[in-house]
Amino acid sequence: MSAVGAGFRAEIARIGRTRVDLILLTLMPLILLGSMAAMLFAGSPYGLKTVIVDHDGGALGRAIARDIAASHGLRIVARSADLDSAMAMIRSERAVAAVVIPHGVGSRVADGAPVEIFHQAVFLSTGALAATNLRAVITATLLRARARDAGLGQVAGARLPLPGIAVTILGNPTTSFEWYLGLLLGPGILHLMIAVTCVSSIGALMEDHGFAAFVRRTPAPVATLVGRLLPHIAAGTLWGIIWMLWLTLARGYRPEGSLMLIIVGLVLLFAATAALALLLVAATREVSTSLSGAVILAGSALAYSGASLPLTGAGLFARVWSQILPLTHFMTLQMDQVMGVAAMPFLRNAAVLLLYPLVAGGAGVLLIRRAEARA
Amino acid sequence: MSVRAAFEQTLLTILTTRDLVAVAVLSVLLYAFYYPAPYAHQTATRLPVVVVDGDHSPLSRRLVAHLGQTRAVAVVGEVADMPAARAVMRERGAEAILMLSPDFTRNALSGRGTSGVALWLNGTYLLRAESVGAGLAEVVVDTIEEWRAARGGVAARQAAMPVLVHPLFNTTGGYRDYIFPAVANIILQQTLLFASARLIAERRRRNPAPVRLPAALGMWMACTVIGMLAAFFYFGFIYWVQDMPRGGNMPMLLVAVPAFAGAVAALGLAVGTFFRNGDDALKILLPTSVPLVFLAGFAWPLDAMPRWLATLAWASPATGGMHLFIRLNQMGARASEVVGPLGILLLLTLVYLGVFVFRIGRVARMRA
Repeated sequence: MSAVGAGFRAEIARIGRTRVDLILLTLMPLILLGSMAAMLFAGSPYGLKTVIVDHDGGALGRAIARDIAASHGLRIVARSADLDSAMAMIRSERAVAAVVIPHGVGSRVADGAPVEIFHQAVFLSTGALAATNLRAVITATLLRARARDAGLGQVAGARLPLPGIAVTILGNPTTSFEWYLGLLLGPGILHLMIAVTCVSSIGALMEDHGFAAFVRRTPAPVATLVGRLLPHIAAGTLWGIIWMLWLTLARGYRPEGSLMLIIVGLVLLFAATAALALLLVAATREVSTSLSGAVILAGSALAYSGASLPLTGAGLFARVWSQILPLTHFMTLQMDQVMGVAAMPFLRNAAVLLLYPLVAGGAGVLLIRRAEARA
Repeated sequence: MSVRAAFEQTLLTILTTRDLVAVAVLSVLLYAFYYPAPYAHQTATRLPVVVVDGDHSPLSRRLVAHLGQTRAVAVVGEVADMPAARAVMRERGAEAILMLSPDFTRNALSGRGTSGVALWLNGTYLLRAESVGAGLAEVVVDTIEEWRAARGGVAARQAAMPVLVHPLFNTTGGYRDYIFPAVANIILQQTLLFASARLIAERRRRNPAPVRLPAALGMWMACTVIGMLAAFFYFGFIYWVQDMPRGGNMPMLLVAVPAFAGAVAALGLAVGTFFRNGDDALKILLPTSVPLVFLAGFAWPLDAMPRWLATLAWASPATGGMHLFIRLNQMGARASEVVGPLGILLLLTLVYLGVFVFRIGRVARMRA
């Protein structure tokens, strides 16, 4: 244990002397996580810009526009006489969506012509959210008008609404983008950050692109390596905890499962990150190449985690690679706890995360020891 | 050194230095295929759903059969009650529960029902939940409509859904067509940023001769050309290979690409002057990739950010690049519709180039 402690103390001292590494473990997480917290502070995107193209100009068309304006999620930025100018506004991102209200809307004059929503889908999350909000608001307005008219005995009272579907969202009952994206972004950013600092730490032990000198002069190299990596695992976990406390205590979101188990998952994630960084440096014996490797493993890990689009229908490479990356298993563990799961799924993911220090870390240590044997 | 000599020497340095060519060329090639791969299937498929059928009617059985035929979801089982269904979800055997109440058929036929169908969705993956929810609702609506129509009912769908939704520029709502065109700008920015920052930081480490204005301009032009080639490679060849929505306004790309590459190259060169070696520059720049893609307004609109943060976000050329190239490539925007981001990129180029020229001269003066 003394070798682990000595490695730990030596690493703390090295970080203190190395301005870039100190910034990476202190100021950078503060700035990057702080900017993400500020970005998501509104909870969900609001005031999505909408253009109204009202070909009707009647009471119902005005009611639709009024209800859209009253919706927190939407904002009317223009009223246009034709769809072409509305489309120009969408192309220049002065609007996300356009609503076309047909002549005679809600009456026989419209002859079944529907209200149409045109929304940009290249920024899909925003565009789809605007479309969902618009559809809900417009449908409610139309149904309200229809019910009122039916009461007056004017319009097609025989038309019947379909059965409503009661929807319950588990783990995110307010459908908050802040909670959803916050759970992805915090660990995703820290994962890459800690991979970089671990590469830097192990890279600093190399002399002449090798570990032979380090192994020769260090009585217990494996324990020293563990001690060297521990400050990075601790820093990643600490920032991860701060991020979770921000989301839960400060912002009021709650996991259905255990926050403590998510923190255990964070420790395992950063241990896995450190192990992979060790393997990268041991295999390449180049800091710059290892940094590129860290970006491939950690920089795109969110994309491969299946958190935005599940990988069930993806190609073989994507599915296999996703399972190789530790962030995938951490994300599953974390999201499971947010929804609340039984013990077994947690244990399964925790066990997979434990394999990284054993397999990748073990392979890294082996390569470093072999370097010494060859020297 | 003249502009031309510095231009040629910088290009040669980038193309003959292993670490630089790896970042500026090989990474660009790698990410063109590596990043879109997990989104290539575009939409969520075969997400597991467990059914609680309290009705046990021909209609409910037909609905379950229809669910099994859809691409979006897969029925993994039917259980007797909600506790059993929740247990399946807690074991992570399902992403959603579809519950049909005992009066499902009666409600469907009468049209009164609001309690006939209930959905419980795993909302932790919010976009996935929306997708599953929309898919399931669509099947429920279709099945009931078909059932009622077969019994001489009214054309219910038109009555219930008098609103038509048209997604524009990504008409299938596919994830790859959404995510890759946005992230491509970050890939193009970060690879060029890493390469140009590393180039200058390594030059500083080797303690070279002072850099005068013509040489600084030559270096910037060389990095800009590398960035332009990468951007044209993506917007031309890679978008074609990956079958992305593309080619909306090709002539304007000839103006927009140099503006973007010039801003990124100037930023990278300016940042590089703050570091004493290339590895340190990489270490600081690498972790910015994920925050920068989100700050560009890719998943969260710039309008919904605090004003100070949205303003800061425009300091990253990828923000201007994203709102410029998506408009030109995917939306087919006209020149007048991209004036804003194009102007910002030109302004950033001037500012960052000024910082680079000032810093590289100052560093040389400090050395002297």
